[in-house]
Parts: sequence; C-alpha cells; structure tokens
Amino acid sequence: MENGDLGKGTYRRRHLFDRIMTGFIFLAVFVAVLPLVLIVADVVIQGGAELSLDFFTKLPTPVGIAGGGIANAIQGSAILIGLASLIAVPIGVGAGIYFSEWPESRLSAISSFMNDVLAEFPSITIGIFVYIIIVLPTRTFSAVAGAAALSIIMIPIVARTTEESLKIVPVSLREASLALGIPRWKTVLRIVISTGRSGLVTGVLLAIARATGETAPLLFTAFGSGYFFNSLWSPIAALPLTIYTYGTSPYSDWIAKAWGAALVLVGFMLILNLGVKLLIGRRYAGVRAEI
Amino acid sequence: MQTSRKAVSGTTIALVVVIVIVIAGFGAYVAFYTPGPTTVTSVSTSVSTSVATSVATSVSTSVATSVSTATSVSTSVSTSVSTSVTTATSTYLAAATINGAGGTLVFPLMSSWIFGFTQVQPNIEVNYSPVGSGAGIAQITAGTVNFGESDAPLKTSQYAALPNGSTLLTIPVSASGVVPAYNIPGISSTTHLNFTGNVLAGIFLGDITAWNAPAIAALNPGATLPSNPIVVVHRSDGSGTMYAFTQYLSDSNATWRTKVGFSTSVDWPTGIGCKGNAGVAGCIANTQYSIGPLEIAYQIQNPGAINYGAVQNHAGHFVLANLTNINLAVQAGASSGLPAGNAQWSSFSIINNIFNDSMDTQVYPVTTFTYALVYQSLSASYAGTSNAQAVGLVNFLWWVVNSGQNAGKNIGYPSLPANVVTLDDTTLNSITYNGTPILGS
Amino acid sequence: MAERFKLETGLTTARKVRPRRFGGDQILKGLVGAAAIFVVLLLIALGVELTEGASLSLTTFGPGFLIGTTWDPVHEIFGALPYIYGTLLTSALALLIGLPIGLGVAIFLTEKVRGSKLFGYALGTLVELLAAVPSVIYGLWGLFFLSPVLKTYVETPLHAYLGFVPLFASVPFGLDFFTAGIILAIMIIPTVSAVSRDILNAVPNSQREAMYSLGATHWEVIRRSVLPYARSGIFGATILGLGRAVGETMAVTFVIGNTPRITASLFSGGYTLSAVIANEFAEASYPLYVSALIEIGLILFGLALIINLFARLLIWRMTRTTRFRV
Repeated sequence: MENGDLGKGTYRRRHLFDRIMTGFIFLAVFVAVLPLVLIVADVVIQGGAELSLDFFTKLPTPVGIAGGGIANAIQGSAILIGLASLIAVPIGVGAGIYFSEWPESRLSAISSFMNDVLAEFPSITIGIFVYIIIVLPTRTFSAVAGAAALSIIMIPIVARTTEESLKIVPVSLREASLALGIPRWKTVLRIVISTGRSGLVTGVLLAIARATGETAPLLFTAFGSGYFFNSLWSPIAALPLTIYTYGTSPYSDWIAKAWGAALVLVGFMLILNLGVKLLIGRRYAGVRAEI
Repeated sequence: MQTSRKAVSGTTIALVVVIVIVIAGFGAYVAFYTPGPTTVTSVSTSVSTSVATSVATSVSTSVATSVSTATSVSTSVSTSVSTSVTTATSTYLAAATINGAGGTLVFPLMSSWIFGFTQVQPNIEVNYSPVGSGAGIAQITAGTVNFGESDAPLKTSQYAALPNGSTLLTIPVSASGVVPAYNIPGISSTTHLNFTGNVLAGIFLGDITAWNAPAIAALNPGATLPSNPIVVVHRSDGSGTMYAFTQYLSDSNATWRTKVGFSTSVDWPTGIGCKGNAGVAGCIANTQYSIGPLEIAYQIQNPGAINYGAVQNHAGHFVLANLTNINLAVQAGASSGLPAGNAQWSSFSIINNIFNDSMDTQVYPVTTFTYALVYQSLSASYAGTSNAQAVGLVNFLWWVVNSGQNAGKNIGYPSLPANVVTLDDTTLNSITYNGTPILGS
Repeated sequence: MAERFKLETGLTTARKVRPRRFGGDQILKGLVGAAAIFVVLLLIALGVELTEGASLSLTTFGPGFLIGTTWDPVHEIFGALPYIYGTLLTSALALLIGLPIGLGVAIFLTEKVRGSKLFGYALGTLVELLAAVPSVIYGLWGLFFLSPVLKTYVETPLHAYLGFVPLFASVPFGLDFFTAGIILAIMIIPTVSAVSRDILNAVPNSQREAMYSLGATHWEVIRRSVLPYARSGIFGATILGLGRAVGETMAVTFVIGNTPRITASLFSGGYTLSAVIANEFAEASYPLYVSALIEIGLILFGLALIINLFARLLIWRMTRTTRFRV
C-alpha cells in the first residue's frame, strides 16, 4: 500500500466509490442468482411431475408404455461416482498436498502445471482416451472405464482446490507446530489439512458435481444400459446418459422423464452437499482464520 | 491453539472418504441383491399384464389373444413365425446379455423392440446405445459390441477395415423419412408448401434466398409468400437423417452433388446447425422464416407444432409424408437391386432406387433404410461371443424382423415390406456359431 | 542423541527429537509425491494417445490444418482455424463475464453477509448447486429459453441501434457466440464463486483489521488487502473456470449455431473445438475423419499448454516472493 494513497480525494468520493462497488457486487449476485433460479425452477417444474415411487424403483420402459422409471440410472450413477471418487479423491488430495507443501521441487512445478492443463481438457476427449486404453483392450464397455473417465475429470479440480486451500494456511501455524516438535507429516495431516478442510471439502463436492453431470465421457466408456448393475466389467446406466438420450428425443413422455432425471440428479447433489457440510460442521459466513 | 480444537483433520478426511464409500457400497449392495436375469423376469411379468390390457401393438406375439385386435398383416406374420419360434418360446433361451450400438434414429424403436422381445425371452438382456451410425460401425468393427446399427450401409473403405476373413451381414430392420419443416408466419398449418428436390437444393445451397423467390412461388400458386429471407437450419451432428436428405439433394441437383455431396456429416454451404432432431425442431420453432430437415417420427409425435411441406417425387406428384407413403416408398425402393445379406451394400441406395422409379405416384422420395450389422460367423475366438449370446442375438434379430415390425406404427416408423423380410430371414439363417447354423431351418 | 528437552518455560517437547532416515515424513512425501507423479504420467499418456490417434491427420495436412478454414468431410478436406477462433472467443467471453460475477458472489458471501449465517449458507449452497446441473440441461434450457430471450431483448436492439459496430454487425438469430459465451459464463460462476469464497474466507482477519485501522472503506479493504492476499487462490479459481469453459462440449453445441465461421460479430453463428468433436466423432466414418477429430483434441491440448504457460509466467512475475503467506 502506497503511503498516502488512502488519503487521496475527499472522504465523500471514496465513500461514494465504495457504495458504487457495493452496488456492483449486489448486481453481480443478482445476475448470478437469476439464471440459477430460472434453471432450477425449470428443472423442478418440468421434472417434478415425473417423481413417483415407480420412477425411483422401476426400469425404463419404451415409448408409449406408461410407468417405468430410472432406477438403474440412479444406481449406475451412484456406483460410477463412488468408484470415481475412490480413485480421484486420494490422488487429487495427495497431489494438492504435494503442490502446497513442497512447492520448491521441480516435480511440483511440472505436475501442478500439468494439472492445470488437464483441467482444460474437453470431457469427450477424455472419454475417447479411456475408450482407447481400457475399452478396446478389454473389448467391453464397463463401469470401470466409466469411472476411470470420470476420475480423470475430477482429479484436477480436487488437486487445484486442495493446493489453494492448503497454501493459504499461514506459515506461522506450520512453524508453531514444528517448533513444538510435531513431525512434518503430522503437521500437514492434522493441522494444515484441518485448517484448510473447508476448501478441501468444497473441492471434492465441486468435482463430484461436475462428474455427476457429465455425459460425453460416458458415451464411449460406460455405454449405458437398460438394466440394473450387473458387473464392473459390463455396461452400466447413468443419469446423464438417460437425460441426453431421452431429452433429445421427440417423445413428450421421454422428455418429461429426462427432466425428472435431471431433478433427481440436482436433488441428489443437494442432499450430498447438505449432508457433508452438516457432518463436517463447517459454517459459511463467519469462519475466519484468526491470526 | 491446537489443543483447544476438538475436530481432528484426519478424522475429517476419513469421514468424507467413508461417505463416498458408503454411496458406492449402497449401490453395490443393491446390485448384488438384485441379480440380473431374474430381476428382468420379475419386471417383465409384472408389466406384461398391463401391456395386454393397454392399447399395445402386437408386441407380445406369444399371447394369442392379442392377435384378435391386430390387422390381417400381423396374423400372417405371427403364424409364419410361430413354426420357427415356438420351439424357442416353449423353452426359454439361456441367459445372455447382448450389446449393440448405432444410430439415434432407430433408438426409440429399438427400446420398444427390446421390451417386446423380453416378454418372449425374459432371460435375454439387450443393451443398445445410440452413439451414432459411425460409432456403431466402429464398434462392430472393433468387436466391442455384438451388433451394430447404422442408417447408412458401410462404405467400401469400411468393409476393407473389417477383420480379415470376416463377413459382416447387412440387415435392414426399419426405415424412416425426412420432411422439410418450416416456420413461416402467415402460412397456416393447413397449408403445406410444395417443394422439389431442385428447389430444396437451391435453398440449402444459399442460391434461393427469399421465400417469395420465383422458383418457390411457381410451385405454390395459391399461397402468399413473404419476402423475408430464408433462414436455413440443418443438423450439426452427423446423422442418418442427414445422410438421406443430402443424398436426395445430390440426386436432384447437380451443383449440390459436386459441391457438397452426401454423407452423415457434410460441409453445409449456409445456415445454422442445431444438435439433434430436437435441436432442429427447436431452432425452427424459435426462428421465423426458417426451414430445416426433420425426421418424420418427430413430426408425427408433434403434430400441429411443426409445419412441413410436400416433396415432389419422380412421378411429378407432390407428396406430403406420412407412414403410408413412406411404406410405399420403401416397398418401391426395395423391390429391386437388393444385395444379398453377406454382400457389400456400399453401392445400394434406396433413395436412388426411389428416385428413378417413375411409376408410383404416391411414394415419398426422401426415405431411407436403417440396418443392423452382424458378423456371419460368430465364435468365441472372435468378437468374444458365447454360444448363449449368439443364439440370443440371432433370435432377437429374427423377432425384430418378423414380429416386431408393427411396434413402430404408433411412434412413427414404417414397417419392412415382405420381400425385405424374406431377404433378412435368409440372411439370419446363414449366421453360424462355431460353424453350425444357429437357427434350425 | 534422543532425549526430551526441558525448555525454559517448563514445557517438555512432545516427543523425542531424533533425526530420522525413514519415518512419517518420508512416507507422506513419498505417497503424495506418487500422486503428483501420477498426474504427470496421466498427461503424458493422454498426449501420446492423442498424437498417435492424430498421426494420420498430422501427416496428411501438416501445419495447414491449423490455418485451414474448410471442414468438408465429404471431400476429405479439414482445417481447424474457425474452431480455434470460436473456442478462444467463447472462453474469453465466458471469463470476462463469469469471473467478475463469480468473484462478486464470493465477495458478497464472505464480506457482506456476516450477519445472517443462514442466508449466506443457503445462497452459497444454491450457487454450488448450479455446478451439478447436467450440461445437457444447460443446453436445452439455453436453446429453448435463453436464446430467444437474448435474441429479442438484447441482440435485436443492439443490432438495430449499433449495427455499424463490427461486434454487432450480423443479423441475430439467438444461436451465436454471444449466447454461447453467456451460457458458459453461467456454467463457470459456481466454480469460480465456490473456490474464491473459501480462499477469501481464509484470508486472516488481521489483514482486514489493519486496513480498517487506517480508515479504509469496505471496498478499499477488499480491493487492497483481501484480494491481493488471495491472488493465487483466485488465479486457481480462474484456471478451473477456464477449464470448464474451454472443455465444455454439450451445452455449447446447443446454442452456438455450429457453423464454422471467423468473424468479429458476436451475433454470428460459430463453432468451437469441443463442439465439433462432440457433434461429429460418433458419426466419423473413415480413418482420416477420426484422425482429424482427434487432432482437434490435440490442438486443445496445445492451447491449454500455451494458455497455462502464459498465465504461470504472469503469476510468477506477480508473486515473486515466498509462496507462503504470513
């Protein structure tokens, strides 16, 4: 801060500028919330009519035959996300820890750079990549391939957010811990991560949200299925695939099912979000690092 | 500071991981307690009762009572089928899962077929993924699926890419038509504009730019055409619908043939691309004075919402597409020149056949087949097919060709003419597993 | 050598102090280092597979692919320049609009809603929920709702009154770079805001207190002490947002008009690298076609490398000193 910078101009001018910027911030929030409300309202309105016990428990039926549901897609998505998270979260968090705790090493610089590049990959290219390295050699579409594709999408998000949330933990915390004789690994795992845990959790939830909504990488890996989960090495249904194939069809009952499936997806994310945050006990407004 | 905190970060991480594992575990739990085939059986039996009472097509042929509501066509079909299938229905086939991939055009019909076939053979699971005709061909070539499905037959180069010594059979399973849909304020939905292939080519080339151009006005003397510029809409993704449409334009107009050609994806000279039939319909609905090619099933499902025009066939008649005249077109186009199932179909074009047919006044010219693709010699050493899968696959296709054709009526698909059914039956009979033919006859 | 030290304050060190050759430190570094190596390996594998798949197209077209403007699958001529242009333009638009708004929401949540925790919590969760909406739904919503609205209320008036400006020169149909940019901006807002919010929350209060004590207004506190402190984190949020914008396949193809065109006008239809792969890969019927589409994936790889290289150099220059904050 340059000396005397804050004294420039009259107090009234600075105060006015502050008011204007506050107005802009409110405007930004309004602009952000508006499409959000519209989209969610659209999903709720168009999808709400579809919700029924049948919808959650039955297999899909063809056009023209009433009833039927998306039970297999819900199960498939849950399995795919669970598997993908099992792979992506440890790797992503691990990489993020490495980037933040050992930033001076060359591996850290290269890897974190590569991680950013990975974040910008189109999901369909990742799907094609997994198709080449998993589906073709095993000669079958599979849940494993689908989960692999999703985990590749999730890793950069988790790694980046982990790195940033850990980097912003003040050095003084680390130094204090080390000064007390706590070994480095304990410092990292117990103190640094604990302090930055809200950012970490946000990153994981964001990654899961992203992966749950992706269609393109599943087209050539998980393939989709009309039946319940069979084995890890056979095709598996997923909600985004159902939404894609039903939503772009000309049949009104199928289109309605697509919106219902979208509502289930968003609802599932909401429950996951709320559940995790309740468990972790984080609060939004008011948590500050007090140094 | 640390001692005053109760929450420990290691536990936090473990909690998140545990939640995630629980989700996966729940899914796995449900999976392992709902084993595959028996679930299908229970689902299908509970639904089949409601199907019989609803206004169903003759999808469940094993139920004799349904024949009483069917037309005479289906009675003859079901009797001819029963001789070869009764042996199969009286004892269920062994459990198997069959995977197929191919075009989006036939996907709604395919799901009806799978559903209907499961009534007959509850142990056979069929998965179909509408990834596109090109992907369908790629998958069957790579051997990752048991059957492929494509709106266009294989090109010579694609036949060359097949595994050495293998024969891929081409089996027409259904057909579809493409209509010119438009959105012109002032033209009511009861007025159907007339188009010729030449005029359509001119519009899509960008040569005819206004709705009241002399070429269009000459075809529609009774209508008051506005002077607004035409907004061209086309598909952005590759599709069999575009394959048929561009082929029709190529046959009608020499400039289009040389400049653009025909394929599932082309370099459109003008216009905006919209994704999927839904996208094209949406774009047309949202853009005044627009025109675009739309699949007939889409129009049938949304009558009144989409205006479309009549197309002139080779006999000079302007034909407004419906299932009847598409059926007639399929019959006319398939009446001659059909290759054998195991031959190469690269030079076969139903559109060309229809185009050169000047006899029939009622055929709709923009009609196309859609094909199933299966290898002739199935075995475990090659494409990894098991005996149960091979038997299930051939029976499924047999059912589709012979019993499933009426399933499409309510959702906008024509049925195969008799000569094509016969050809397909011959082809299916030639499929072998480890050398022995699968179907008895 | 191992002993407990009794400090002057009377405390005893928690554990025996002994230099270790193989202990928890090394295990941790090894494990997380392995994760970092895995990321590198993954990217190398991606690069290798992409290059292999694109080799046919690379040898056929060479560098002409990058500057070619014709994409004709029937006559087997492929050129990617319009797609590169479209990707750059829409991503720039998305960042230009989405980044300030996302940051604004994050600032709002961390600075302005101190009083009502429930409101902040609800709003924050709501914004994060936007990230979960599937991209197909964004596409459908964009096509059937946003595009007509933008066309009627924004594009047509702008074209009517400011049509002489090259930016607004084309006749608007609602399916163009502009709508695609807006949809992408909406899609990156949750990412940018969620990540920024955590970063801003982690800025120590001492920074703010110091500014307040000097008599700064709230905005000056934000602008001059909170944001600079969080600079690296916000950059991370930008990268993730950019990643979503560049890599988004489904939603863009519904609203961009899918016509390969290079023009200054925002209201013209366009095409992006990801959209063309999404549209045509499934139907690509011969090896050169498939190879050309994979080469487009390779171009995206290269673009991401270049963009990130520039961004890193920029950041490195800005944050020359220690990465850790006091």
